[in-house]
Amino acid sequence: MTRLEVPARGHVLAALACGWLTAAGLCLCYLGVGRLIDQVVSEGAIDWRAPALMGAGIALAVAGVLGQGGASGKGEAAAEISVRARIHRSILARGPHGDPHAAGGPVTGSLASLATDGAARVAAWRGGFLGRLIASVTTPLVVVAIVAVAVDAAWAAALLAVVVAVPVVVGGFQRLFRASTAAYQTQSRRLAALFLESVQGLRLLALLGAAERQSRLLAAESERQRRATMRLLAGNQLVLLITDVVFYGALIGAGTAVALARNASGAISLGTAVALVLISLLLTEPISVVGQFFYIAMTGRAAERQVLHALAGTGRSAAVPPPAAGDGGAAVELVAVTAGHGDGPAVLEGIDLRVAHGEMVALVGPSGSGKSTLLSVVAGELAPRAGTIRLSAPDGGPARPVLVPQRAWLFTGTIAGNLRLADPAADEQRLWSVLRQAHLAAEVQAMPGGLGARVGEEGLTLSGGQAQRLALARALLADAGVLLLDEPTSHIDTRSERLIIDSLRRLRGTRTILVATHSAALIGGADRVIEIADARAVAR
Amino acid sequence: MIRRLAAFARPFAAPLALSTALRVVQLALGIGVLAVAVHAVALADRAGGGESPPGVAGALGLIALLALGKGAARYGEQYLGHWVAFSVLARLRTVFFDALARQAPGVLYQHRSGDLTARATADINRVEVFYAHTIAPAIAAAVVSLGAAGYLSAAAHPALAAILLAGAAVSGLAVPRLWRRRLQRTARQRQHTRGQIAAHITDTIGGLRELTQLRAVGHWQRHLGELDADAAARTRSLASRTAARRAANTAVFATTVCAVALAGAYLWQDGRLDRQAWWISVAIAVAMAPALTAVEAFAGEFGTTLAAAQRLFAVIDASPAPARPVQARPAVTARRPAGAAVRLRGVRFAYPGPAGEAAPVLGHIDLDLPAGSTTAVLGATGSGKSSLGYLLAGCLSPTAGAITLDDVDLRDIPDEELRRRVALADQRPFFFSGTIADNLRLARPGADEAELWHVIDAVELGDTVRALPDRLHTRLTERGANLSGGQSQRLSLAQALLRRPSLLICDEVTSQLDAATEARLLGRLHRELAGCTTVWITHRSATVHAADRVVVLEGGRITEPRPPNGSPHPGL
Repeated sequence: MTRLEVPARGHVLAALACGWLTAAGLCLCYLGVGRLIDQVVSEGAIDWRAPALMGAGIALAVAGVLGQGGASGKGEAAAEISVRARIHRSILARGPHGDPHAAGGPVTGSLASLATDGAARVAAWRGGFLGRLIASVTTPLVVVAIVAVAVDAAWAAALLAVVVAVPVVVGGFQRLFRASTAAYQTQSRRLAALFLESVQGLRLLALLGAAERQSRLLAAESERQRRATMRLLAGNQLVLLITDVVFYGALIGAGTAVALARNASGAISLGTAVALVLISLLLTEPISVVGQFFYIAMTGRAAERQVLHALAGTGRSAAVPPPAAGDGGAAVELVAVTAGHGDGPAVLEGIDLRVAHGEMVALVGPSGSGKSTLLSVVAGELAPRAGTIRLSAPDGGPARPVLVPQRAWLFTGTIAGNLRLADPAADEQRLWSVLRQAHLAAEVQAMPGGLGARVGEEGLTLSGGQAQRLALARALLADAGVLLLDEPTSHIDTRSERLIIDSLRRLRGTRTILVATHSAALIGGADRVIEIADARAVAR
Repeated sequence: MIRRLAAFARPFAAPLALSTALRVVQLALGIGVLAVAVHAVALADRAGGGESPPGVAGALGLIALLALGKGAARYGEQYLGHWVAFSVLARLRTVFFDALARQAPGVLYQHRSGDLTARATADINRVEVFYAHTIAPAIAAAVVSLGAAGYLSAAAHPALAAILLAGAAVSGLAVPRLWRRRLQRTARQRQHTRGQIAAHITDTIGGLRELTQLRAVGHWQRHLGELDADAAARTRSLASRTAARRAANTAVFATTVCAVALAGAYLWQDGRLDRQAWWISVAIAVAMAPALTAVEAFAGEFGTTLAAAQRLFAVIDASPAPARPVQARPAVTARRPAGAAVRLRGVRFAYPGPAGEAAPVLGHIDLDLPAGSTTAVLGATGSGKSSLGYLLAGCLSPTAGAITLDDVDLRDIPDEELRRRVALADQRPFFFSGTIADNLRLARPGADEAELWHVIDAVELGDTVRALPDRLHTRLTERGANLSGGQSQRLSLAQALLRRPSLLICDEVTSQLDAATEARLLGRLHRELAGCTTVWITHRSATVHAADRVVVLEGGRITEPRPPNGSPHPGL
């Protein structure tokens, strides 16, 4: 199992060093208490040395805690950014026909959950907790070393034997429960995916009166997740029982017994014996992180594996090679192109098509005949199974296509924000100009906020026709020589449609337009009509 | 907020109380272990050097026994605490979704689905801390502190008890108040940013085609980078302040231990305390650490927990109480019911905006749809046609005026009856991942295959579906992405037909069909929908000519209701 590269190594080391500082501080503090006891009992007076030792110990411990908290926070923040950026990049790299729309369960919610909750969990583990964990697990070694040097080597040697057994046993248990943790996380991502789908389909559920049924489905899924969690806990909490009994009892018992024996043989003073009993409590430090270990480390590691898995999926999605530049004679040229989706049957077979520069061509054909697939292939979204596609600008260089799908996605934000995705530098004048071309300017002017008017999720606050025209305006703003429009006027009334067709006709000569449509008006406005039927293209 | 969270745990009071009691036992046994150990050292010294100390074997046996009890108590405490927590979380999720469902579709105008999902998953998971790691540790820390102080007061000296109690009070009550508001605010802002990040990612996945086509990927990534930097800055700020609190607690704890040791020394010198009680007092002060650390742990997280709870209750509280009267479940009849008569009087409507501002959509609408009539609604895009459809279907309520169905106000019709009588085929169809049959059966759970084929044929999808390898059991990918636009419109219409409504509203269901398919579909539907009151929201002339009456909407008002033969229609 490879690990995720997380830029938090420095912070982890700092947190580790600070953890040791805290342990050393508390050790000094307890030794100060022992010193005090000896002074008072045997000398009958308290001098400055015992309180000074205590004070120094407290100062060290406080500095250690302060430093560890800061380092953990920085490590966590850095790791979260890095993990999320990688997931985001991999989603973007998949391409529109990659995994997100592949058959199977709903994946949007599960990916979104991985990029947020999953990234936060990985960060909490690798950036925030790892340093603390190593510090806690190794604290007994630091304590034993301090005692060996400063107090009594024999006590330290005896306790060392018990101390090294702790991580071995805990490590064994953690391996034992890895599978159940992973299963739990998969379960919880499934719940997230189901929930997102239910929220997105809420309107349909309400319309169908099915919201109550969906609620029961979610409740059942929630209950399944609860059971998975409880199964996980019932198992891994057993570690708590075992570590508590074995190590709490054994470490304090051994610490006490050896301290007593050393005191009896006159090797250490009475005060030191008391201090060693108190110090043996510090040896139980690893136990205190075992509980957290299951929350932060196990869930973090399971999330890490899922992130790695999701990132590994990226490599599989075949990148569509950019269309070759043509000879400049035609803007769009398809030669014997065959295409289809996934493993399905070929939707297009042996298509030959030539579109001249500045020409406007209408693609017609019954619903489901392959018009959208053709546009997808020309747009470079879908690699053809056979044949070649060439796109060229009038000067012979490569031409850039831009596709407006049937149900174009509008992003939550403002009208201007949606438009500027196509050209972040566009000024307001440019925005108004493309809105006028799409015959939407008057309506945007009337909206509260104008260009700054909010567009709800997926353009929810816009009517179907407004959403279509906004998507068209956005594509017009992109500096693309070839416009591919899929049913651009299906939700638009005839009068508005006529005005849009006029706008498109004015673009002829400067832009090449391929439009899939059923609208008689739009077909009438085209220079040429191509029918797609039985997977072939026929001039009409 | 705390009281509201606690109310959800009320049905689980017994296991929660038991979990708390076990925690007290566990902490007390932990203190006992160290006290017994120090006690053994004190006894050994009294026996004099060189000899085998008496009672050592007994003390070691007792330590083992106490540790065993402590482990068992901790297991029970943790298991029960989490059992309560996860039961409450499962319940919270259901309450949250039901609240959303009651506010649909209005709630979707105010929140993004990714953000709502983040609330339902990440925020609800956050609240777990309150049930599993707050209630029991808080009560147990108080009980154990008071118990230990009481013991010291009786067995050692009241002054030592006072020092111990003062230390516990400072670390349990005063330190958690440091920067409380500021930490809560930062945590709230971070949760908000994380919600935005979730929504951003949802937009990334949904809008991937557009981002790629528009070459906006870099721009989009920078936007995420800004959100990320904001969340990271808040994480660092939370961590450094939480660390400062923890450091303060460490100082208080170690100072308390040293103060007990020093005060004990003076009291012993004065002969007011015996040596054994002095040392045991120090051991108890040291052994208080786990009780206080637990308080520290949840207090540090408390801001985030409260922020998460606030985000949940913001949605839950916005939901109206189930308003529609509940009625006995009526039997679904196989026979087509008669069409309903619909009347609109003075209907106005405005969508709720994100900041409460409202953009008026419909002005003053008076309209009668006789039983069994077919009405075409025309109008330019943005004229309010779809909103009118949602109002008729009762999934939006008029801001003024009233809509009646067979002379009963829509608001007075029980939800279930309304859904049975009124169906709407949406202009933006949505499908759940699952098979075609699954999606159809959402509309009528018990429908047999014959019924499914009947509606599939009625919407002219029969040939298409029969050509698929798995026919009705073909899986739709997420949101029906593997259907063409025209296919998804017709599948959505089939769903509506399956409900056998007495009022059917079709919003642009033929807009992506070729003329031939549209004509066949309209012919089929004419027979299929005989007697049903039907509203076609459209701008296709074939659909308009199939209607008995035409209504034209302009700027949210009806400009001219008239028979369809008075063409040309300005909105067409």
